[in-house]
Amino acid sequence: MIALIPVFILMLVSVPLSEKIKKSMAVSYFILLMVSVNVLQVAALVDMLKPAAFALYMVLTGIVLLYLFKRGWTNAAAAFKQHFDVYAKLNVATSVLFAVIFTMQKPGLYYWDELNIWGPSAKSVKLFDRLYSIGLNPCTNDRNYPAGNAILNYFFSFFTQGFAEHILLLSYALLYVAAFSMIAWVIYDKSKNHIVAVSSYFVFFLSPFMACYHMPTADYQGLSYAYGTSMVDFNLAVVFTAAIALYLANQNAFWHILPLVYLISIKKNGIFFVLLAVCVIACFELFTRAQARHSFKKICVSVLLSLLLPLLAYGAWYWHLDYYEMPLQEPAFSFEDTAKPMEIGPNAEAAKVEAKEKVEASPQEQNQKPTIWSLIIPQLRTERYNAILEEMEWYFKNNHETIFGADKYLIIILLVLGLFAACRTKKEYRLSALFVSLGLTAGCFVYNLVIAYQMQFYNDGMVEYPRYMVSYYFGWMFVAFMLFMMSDKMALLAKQVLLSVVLVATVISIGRMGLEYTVIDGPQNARIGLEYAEKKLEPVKDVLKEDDRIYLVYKDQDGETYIKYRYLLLPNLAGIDTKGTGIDFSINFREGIDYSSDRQYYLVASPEKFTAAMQSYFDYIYVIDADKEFKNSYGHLFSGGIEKGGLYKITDEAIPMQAVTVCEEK
Amino acid sequence: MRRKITAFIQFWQDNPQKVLRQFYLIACAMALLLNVLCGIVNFAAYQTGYYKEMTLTVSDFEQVGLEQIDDHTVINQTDDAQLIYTGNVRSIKIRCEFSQNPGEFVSFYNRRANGAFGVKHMQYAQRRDGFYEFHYPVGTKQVRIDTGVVPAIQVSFSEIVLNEKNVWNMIGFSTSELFYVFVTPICIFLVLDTVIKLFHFRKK
Repeated sequence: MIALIPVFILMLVSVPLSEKIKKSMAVSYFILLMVSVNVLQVAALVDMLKPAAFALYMVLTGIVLLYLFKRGWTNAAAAFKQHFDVYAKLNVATSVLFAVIFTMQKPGLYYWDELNIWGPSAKSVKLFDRLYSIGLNPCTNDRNYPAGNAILNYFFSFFTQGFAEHILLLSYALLYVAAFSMIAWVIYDKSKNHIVAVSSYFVFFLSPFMACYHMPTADYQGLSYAYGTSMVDFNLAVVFTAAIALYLANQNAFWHILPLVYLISIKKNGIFFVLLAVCVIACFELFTRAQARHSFKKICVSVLLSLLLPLLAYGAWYWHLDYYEMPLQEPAFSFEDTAKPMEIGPNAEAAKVEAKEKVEASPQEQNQKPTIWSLIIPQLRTERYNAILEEMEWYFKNNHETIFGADKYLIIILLVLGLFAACRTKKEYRLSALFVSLGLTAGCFVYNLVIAYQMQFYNDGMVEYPRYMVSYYFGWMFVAFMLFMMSDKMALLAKQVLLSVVLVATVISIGRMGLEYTVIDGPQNARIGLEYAEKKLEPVKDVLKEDDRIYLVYKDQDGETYIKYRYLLLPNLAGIDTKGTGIDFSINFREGIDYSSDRQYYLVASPEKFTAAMQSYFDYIYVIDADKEFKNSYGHLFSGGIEKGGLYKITDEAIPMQAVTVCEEK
Repeated sequence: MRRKITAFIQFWQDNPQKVLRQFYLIACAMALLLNVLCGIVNFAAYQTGYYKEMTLTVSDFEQVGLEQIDDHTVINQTDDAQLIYTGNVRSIKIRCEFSQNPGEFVSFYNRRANGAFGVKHMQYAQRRDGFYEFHYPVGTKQVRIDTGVVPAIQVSFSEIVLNEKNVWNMIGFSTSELFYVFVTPICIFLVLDTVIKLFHFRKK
């Protein structure tokens, strides 16, 4: 419940802001939330996260006190009453409802990507009070995971101690309801009908249940499932729609740039959604400029700012890594100067030659490297790209996984809904709405091309494709729905009929699947696997102090195990951050696994080098499980040999890794 | 009567916010009443012995695909090892250790005690305070606990508590109720409002 403190602070600060901008507290609350998250993001880039968060809360509290002092209690209370409308009330009510449910249920993280990327990023930022500096994904060492979600969690968990998974998930829910209440107010502002706007809020509020309905699930309960995934695909749709709604709330202000800056820091797909949102905004700017009395110069400034500021924010993330973190960073261990041929298995040189030959012989890689131009020039596409596109086409025509029916029907419905709204909306909005509807349809195909481009680099088939499309479909649905509800010439009855049908169908659907439903999925996703590891690590964590650094030994191809333990051992396992030391702790002492053969390594570091690296950078070694090569190469350095589940203190003794007896029973 | 209905509809059209507020008040009152009633019924069920709080051992379960080592330890023989208990069950609380990652720890239940189990009536274990917990709906007569998806897992049970007497088991309050209390009134309100408007427009 402590996570609600930021909600109440923002709500109080939004009173003076609402007075100034003459909008609902739902709008000013969302603006303040975006300002706060973006300020923290900027501060984090220069390693000032904690002081900035502290200063931010001081400033917010200061504003409230100053306002109270200036206006007096009675006037302030009257202003609060005036601006605390039904949309702000809905925001607070839903936030409290979620805080209660999440506190009771304490939902956790389950999926591979949650434990691999979104969980560790938020946990690392919360525990280290700084941005992570090393690739989050140990499989790809992909550094391209901006920290938007982690910063959002940091903001809402500032008053709580340590990292809690349910607060990370709650922070997403709080973002959703803040955006939904603001969008509902915009619908009210345009349609001047509370019943339509409030009902629309509930449609938005229930939409995440439908977003997750068709996704594979495991061990999720009720609400904690629908709003309970740390994967950020749905966040993209929500913030994308919020940016457009905020633009429509006041076309003369630049508020919409705030969510756009946040949108680009959610995920790399955010770039696409920012570009799409800018296109939508440009469309409205162009076709409504007469009504809004905007000069062409003003339009250019608005569009350019909407484009440049988010791109600057994204560039700053890379600047932070490349010019701030990386020059300091050095690998704790280099293979170049210490490598020696492996003592067992094939000869290193021969194996290297063999591997090279295999790569050259591989038909998929035949000198055909993916280029960004392949998005628009079919001749430049790789075979894999074409194969992915072919499979996407099948999904598009036949797949029912993403949403209610096959994607092709959904697209037709959304296009028709948008066009219908365009025909029946205000005269000055008609062209904009028409181009937006057509543009979003075309954008869907471009998005598929972009997704296909990205998927070339991953080896997980089309498993995640429906999830990626959730971002687009829901963003599109929200915008089409918003346009429909805002159109003033549409009969109130038509809107209410649509709202009734959607609401009732959604509630029935949720009722049918049950709020405590589960779906049998692969055992890798079940929470029990993580809990098993958690239990194993309990005695180990009792031994470790906060500043101790631990090195994990695991079977090199057992990525799933590594991901779980890495996540659980944060902050002692500093695998995704240099912790400001400039040292990359993500060391692998074996190089060149041949995935197609007998899982042996080309090179293994010498025992002396291994010991030196361990003694320099780590305090403990925890052996999850060691493979044959590791045991053969380094077994003699461990007192009593390498034991599965063993914890070893790194010492200066003759046998440097001394086994630590851990108390299994608490 | 007709005049009263017409007056109410007029009031509805004039003060939709007030009507919606009353819908919410009624929903809250009904949820509260339902929980109190549920609490009374469950309290009576505990008092009359319909639900009995008991500490069980693995011998109290019918075992399928398992080898029992002692009263507290079993080893999975197959990938579908099951512990089945027949009786009135409200909840089961288990403290146990797995020799290796069990993959999943799930329970199935039915209301007929006929040995038929399906995925529609399945729960994953919830972990609280070192215990794995399963909560079942009122009327559950038979439960099945699957002890992992791989053979050779050894499960050591240190505590199995059946139908623990506590407030949550009595009132049966769930977070789902909070959700429905929040969502149902607006749905009913909107549908009725649309129907009223349809009728009204047609009349016009």
